[in-house]
Amino acid sequence: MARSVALESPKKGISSVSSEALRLQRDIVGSVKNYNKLAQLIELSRSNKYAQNACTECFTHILMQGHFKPGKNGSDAQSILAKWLMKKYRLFLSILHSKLSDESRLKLSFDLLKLESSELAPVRNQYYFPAKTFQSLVKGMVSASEEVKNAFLNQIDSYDDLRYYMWTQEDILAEEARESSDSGTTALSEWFLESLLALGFPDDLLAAPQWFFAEPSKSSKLLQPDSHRKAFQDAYISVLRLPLGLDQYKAVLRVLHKQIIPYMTTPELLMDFLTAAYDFGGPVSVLALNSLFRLMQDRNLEYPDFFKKLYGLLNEDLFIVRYRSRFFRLFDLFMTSTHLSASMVASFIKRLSRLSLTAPPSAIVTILPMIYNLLKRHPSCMIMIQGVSEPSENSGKDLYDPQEPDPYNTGALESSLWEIDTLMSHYHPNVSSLARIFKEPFRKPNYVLEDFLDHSYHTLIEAEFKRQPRNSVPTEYEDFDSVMADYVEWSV
Amino acid sequence: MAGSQLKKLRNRLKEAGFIGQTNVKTKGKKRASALPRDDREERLDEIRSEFNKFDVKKNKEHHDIGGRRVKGSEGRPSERKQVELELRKAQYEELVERKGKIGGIVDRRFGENDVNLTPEEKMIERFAHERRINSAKPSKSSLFNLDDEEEESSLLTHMGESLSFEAAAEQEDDYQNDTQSDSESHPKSKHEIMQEVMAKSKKYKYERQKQKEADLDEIEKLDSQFDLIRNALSDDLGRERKANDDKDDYENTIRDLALDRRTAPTEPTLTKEEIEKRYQEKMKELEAQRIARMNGMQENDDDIDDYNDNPDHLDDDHDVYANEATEFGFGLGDTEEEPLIDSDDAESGTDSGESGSDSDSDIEDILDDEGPGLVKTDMYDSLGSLDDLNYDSFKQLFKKSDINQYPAVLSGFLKSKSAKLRAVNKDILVASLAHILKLLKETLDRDLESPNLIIDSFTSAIKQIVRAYPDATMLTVRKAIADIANTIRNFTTDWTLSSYHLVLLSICGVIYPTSDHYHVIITPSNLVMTEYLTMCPFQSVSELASGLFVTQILLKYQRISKRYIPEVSQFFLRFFAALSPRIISHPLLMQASVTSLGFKGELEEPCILGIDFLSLADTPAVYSAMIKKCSELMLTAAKTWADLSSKPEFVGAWVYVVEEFQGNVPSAERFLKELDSLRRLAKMAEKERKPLTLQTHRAIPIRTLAPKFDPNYSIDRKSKNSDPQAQELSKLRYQVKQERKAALREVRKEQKFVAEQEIQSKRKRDAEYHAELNKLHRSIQTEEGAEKNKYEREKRDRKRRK
Repeated sequence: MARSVALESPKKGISSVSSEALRLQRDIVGSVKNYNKLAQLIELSRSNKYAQNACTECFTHILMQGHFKPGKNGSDAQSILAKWLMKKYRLFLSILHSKLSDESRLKLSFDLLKLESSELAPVRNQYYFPAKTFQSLVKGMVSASEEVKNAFLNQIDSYDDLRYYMWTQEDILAEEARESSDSGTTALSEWFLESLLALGFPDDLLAAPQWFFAEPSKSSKLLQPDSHRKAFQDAYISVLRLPLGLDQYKAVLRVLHKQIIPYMTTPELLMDFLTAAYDFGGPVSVLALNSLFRLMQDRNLEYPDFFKKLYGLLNEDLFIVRYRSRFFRLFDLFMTSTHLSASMVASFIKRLSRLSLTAPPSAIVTILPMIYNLLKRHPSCMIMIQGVSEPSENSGKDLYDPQEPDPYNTGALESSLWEIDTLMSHYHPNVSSLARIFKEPFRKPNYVLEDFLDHSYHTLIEAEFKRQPRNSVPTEYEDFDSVMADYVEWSV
Repeated sequence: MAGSQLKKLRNRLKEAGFIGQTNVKTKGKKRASALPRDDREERLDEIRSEFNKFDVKKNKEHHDIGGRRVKGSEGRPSERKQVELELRKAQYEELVERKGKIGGIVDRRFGENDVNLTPEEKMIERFAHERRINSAKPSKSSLFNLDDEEEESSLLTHMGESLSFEAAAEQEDDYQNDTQSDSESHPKSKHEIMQEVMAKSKKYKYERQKQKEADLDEIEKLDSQFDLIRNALSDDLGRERKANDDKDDYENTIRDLALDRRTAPTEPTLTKEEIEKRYQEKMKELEAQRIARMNGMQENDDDIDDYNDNPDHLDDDHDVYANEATEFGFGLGDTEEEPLIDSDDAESGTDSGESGSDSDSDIEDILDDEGPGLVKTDMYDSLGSLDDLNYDSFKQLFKKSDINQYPAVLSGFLKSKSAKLRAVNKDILVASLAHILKLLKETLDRDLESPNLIIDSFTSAIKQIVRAYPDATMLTVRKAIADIANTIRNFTTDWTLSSYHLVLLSICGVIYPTSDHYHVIITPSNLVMTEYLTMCPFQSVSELASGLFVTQILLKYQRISKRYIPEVSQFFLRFFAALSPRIISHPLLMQASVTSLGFKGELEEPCILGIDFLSLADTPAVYSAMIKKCSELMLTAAKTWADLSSKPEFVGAWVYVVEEFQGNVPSAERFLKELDSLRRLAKMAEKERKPLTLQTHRAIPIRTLAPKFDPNYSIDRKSKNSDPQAQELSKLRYQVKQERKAALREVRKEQKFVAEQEIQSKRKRDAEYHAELNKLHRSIQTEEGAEKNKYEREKRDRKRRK
């Protein structure tokens, strides 16, 4: 009977289904004997909102009645009923959580969660967290809409206990997902990371605690900031172990050093992740650099071949990624030490100048002051722009080996920065005049790199268009027979 | 002398013999007290004044350093004043005594009192002096004397007659003119000569007056004929003026004529050779200006040197330059300032001035260019004013004509709107530029039979307008370039540039000098094109073709100035990486932005690409055409940048990529003929270059800051000048000043003293006079009284007698 109703309901129309649900709800609330009709109602709630509402009402009623509580010994009728009811309850929850289409469903879920915490607590009036229900809710959020997700996260973020349990449960769920490793993991891990990044760690933790469930007891973990930190850290560590997409990695790495590492109890745990990210190459490496450096600085992390990797990171692609200025800020920081070996610094200088041969002007504008600062800091590299040996037959040959990965062995010190000489005749007047600083005496202690970082084609062109010519605009005096004469092959 | 004031006094008195033992007798020596008594009082006074501290004035020394000798630190001003006064008095009395009593002869002979001259020298000097006075005299006297034109006194005479030949000849004339006076043949007296001279001068004066009258008559006559000329002139100027003899009108006319532009001399007819020569000179001058603009930076090098040489620059805090990048012209927000190159450049200033005047004079020439006179001119009259001109009305001109007639219509339009005809035409022409560009865009969107002809005609029209009014049209062209920049920025899927954009960029390269170090249109155009080359993903054949075309435009821009464009280098690498079926990697290649086109390596005979890339299909013929073109462009680029020192590197990178590509697509070899030349060029450049020596600067000495030791240092020396001559001079100057002040002071004191003395003497005289008078009065009164008494007595006696 129930099955037929469920199948026919779409054809019958919504009104008849909802009236049916209403009738069933009335019956169930009316008498314990009608509890059997719950199965029917749950079937209805698979596709109907009103049935879901009715079902929620029923379970609220049952919870209030205390029928979920098993009897004294585990085999009496009371216990059997409680077991059966629990089974039905879980079934209903899984239906409800998989169909979180709007915020009202979400509200129903949270209401049930709260009720369960107060009614199903093993000891009356003691703090109880319904972990299973919560896990099911979190899992259900994967398929929810963006709006519902935001509402969910808002709700979580406004209660300290919910936030804490969110972290602990995500840790557990992520571990589970990693072990099962089935196909749906990526969506799940994406949602986990999204929620983690959205939640963040509050600066004023437990300053004015808000509790979703009952007030926790004084010895509860919920009142200790360190346990929050631990939960936060564990959640991240577990989630980061899941397979993530490139964009997710970038999103984490972008904020890792600022918003995550400072709140971790033992950030060393991220070391493996960061090392892997740094080895990954491309923009991910650039982004990992920041956190890696933070760990090296604060936690004495040893990273072998750091400079070798850094040297490897310098390539043409660096100039078009969005994190160019971020990288060069860090790069400048790494190269601040005057105790670096000259041959290594020379390799960096040579590589940068070599890359500038095919780089856009915005990158060249960054590179040139950087090279200036490096030369100023390491005067032994000045031979790269001021040769000391007598020019000989082979002195025009560039002894620098661009393929050599180790910056100590590139032979850059024996080379000359011809590239900079070439840039002195760059097509853009400002770039060429910037390159000419290498021709002048090195009087300036250093250039403030920050002023040269954020240029782009856009800023350069806009600057040109704003300029008012002071003199008359010169025109070409020569006459050409045809504009397209040189483009012969192009025209018909 | 030690001791207290009292002890000193006692000692002094004892010395003088006033106190102490008085009865000590020394043989043969008289005691002081034995002196006369009256002297005693005097000497006591002396001692008193000696010990009077109120008479001594001391200059207080605040810092007595190192025993300086300070003059006049102690003095007795009252005593000194007294001495001075007495001296003055003595002088004055002497003067008064001598007044009116002593006469004499003042000896004014030259050098009489000079002991340094020998008698012979004195004689010579006196003679020369005499001569000077004599020779100066006549010129002085003849300053206003008309008749003294011929200097008679300076001429040598004998027996009153001139000895010079001219004078003799003159005399001959005189002889002929009035024999009478000559017949007397007696030397003329001075009076006679003067009479003659006066008569002559009167005669000349009369003649001058007569001449002036005649001139005035002539002017009168000319003035009366002025109206005729004036009418002729005013006719010539196309103005109508009625003949009016009113004086005001006349003056107005004169003023008008004075303000009128003067007619320029007509150009002489030039021969062919001369025209040719002038043209060549003009071209040479323009070329020199262009080179100056191209090397704009070199001229400015001095400025940079100045800036860097300034030691203050080192001390400058960073705050002084809020953003260091702006020093090089990289402004992010405010970009009011000119780029570095154009700053206060006198050279460029004159350049622009000249080019401005050039353009002025060229306007007529340019707009006079003969165009095919197919179209009637009256159709352009509809665009008579600036308000009438909008794109619709402009397009109306072209409505009736076929595309092939567009050039004729355009040139007709330009001719009818020549600025020579009406002043407003200038604005119309400037405003029409935007419409011409829009029309070009629409025309290029259509299918064209011979696009080159159309493009050329549009180019020449744009060029004429831009050349004539480069400043006014700048904004229009700039806006067109900005549109391209916006288009590129808004590209999402298909990055192919339209033919209009490509043609416009090419046209800019023809109408503006692309070699300039900085050019208000060309510099942003360059940036727009390089942005395209960097940002374009090159995912399709049409995008690659656009990239190739842009590269060619960029290379053409640099044909003279030969500046390096990194983006072009990158494009060559990306071009072959995108075409290659297998991945090519190179350190200089932007690997991340390379998208393989999926080219399988099938090639055919190259086809012609056209300029409309939007509809370019990826056929083998197109691929081979592009490969061939790219290879040619690489050679062009390598030749353009032949002098750059890192040529082996970038050409080497190209060669590497091409070789890889060729390895992957062996059939492409026949389209890559330039590869060998590229290899050769790279190798050659490597041999030629030398290690950099950029820091070979003139050694600059370190400033020494150790103090200079002066062996003759003295704290009393005021002058800091070490040059003894200058020191001497300043000392003398100081002395003169002091002397002058002292002299003035002396004179003033003298006068004051004399005045006082005079008053005193006057008072004295007056007192004497009064005393005398009183005495007289008294004597008279005495006499009178005696007489009166006598009279009274007599009277009494007579009464008594009666």
